[in-house]
Amino acid sequence: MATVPGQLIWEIVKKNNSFLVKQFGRGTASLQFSKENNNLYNLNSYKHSGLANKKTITIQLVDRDQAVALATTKTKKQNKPAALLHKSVMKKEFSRMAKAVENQVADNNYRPDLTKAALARLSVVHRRQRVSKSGVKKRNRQALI
Amino acid sequence: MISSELGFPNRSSSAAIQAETMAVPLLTKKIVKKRVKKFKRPQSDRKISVKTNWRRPKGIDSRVRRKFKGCTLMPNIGYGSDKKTRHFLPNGFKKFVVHNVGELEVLMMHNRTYCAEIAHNVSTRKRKEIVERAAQLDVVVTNKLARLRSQEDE
Repeated sequence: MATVPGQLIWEIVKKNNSFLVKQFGRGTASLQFSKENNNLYNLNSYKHSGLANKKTITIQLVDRDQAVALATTKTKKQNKPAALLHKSVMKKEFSRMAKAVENQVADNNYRPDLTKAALARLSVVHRRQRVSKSGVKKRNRQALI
Repeated sequence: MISSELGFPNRSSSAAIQAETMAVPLLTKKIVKKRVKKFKRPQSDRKISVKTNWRRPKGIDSRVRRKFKGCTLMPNIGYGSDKKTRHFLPNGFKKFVVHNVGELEVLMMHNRTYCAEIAHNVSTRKRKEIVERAAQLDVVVTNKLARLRSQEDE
């Protein structure tokens, strides 16, 4: 997001930032998530961070569930937030969307390490899209467990 | 079934049915609590000023400290839960306290390890929003029925 080395931003931002959702606890009971759009797993880590990386990926639902938006950040527009994103809107069936994501993330060597995360998020977003189209099913197992 | 639609091979029909209905916890291990009773502080039954909260006996002659037969048991690290099931609720999820919809969205990618619990000081109106969104995101909410009854009575 800025023209400063990502590692430096991460060191500044990792303990406290406006996107961070913390839950306190002893040892392994404490939890940290992150709310950025371009954080595929919503985890507070350098790899997944949308603040500290020059190359990030956003996968989201757009205009009330009609389509899935895929956006990647441009490395040469880091100091121009308005022109930062390379956006595309996908309305196709799932397999073709998956292919598009793979193309943009891995096949052009953009962030091959995030391929799995991107595909995982795509499938979750896709499921949510279907749910919001068909309506939430009454029958669920929440009460049973 | 979801999995067959996406072109992935069906693992089992029951798993697919579950996936369509509600998030199923990833945890397959059985949660074992080695001890569920509290460790009571020795001699807390003798005096009101000695509370039941655990304090390690440190006296030179203490029977409990010297672990005599038939004495109160002392807590130690061996009673700890398996790392893989530690902090898990009986429903197989870990808990994450949520105050608003934004915090719930964070669980979207983790809906098979974490479940949401709406914080105690969230109003009925906002609770409704959170529960609705959770259903869309397929996130389990532990207290989704809270504050519902009083509303219907009125």
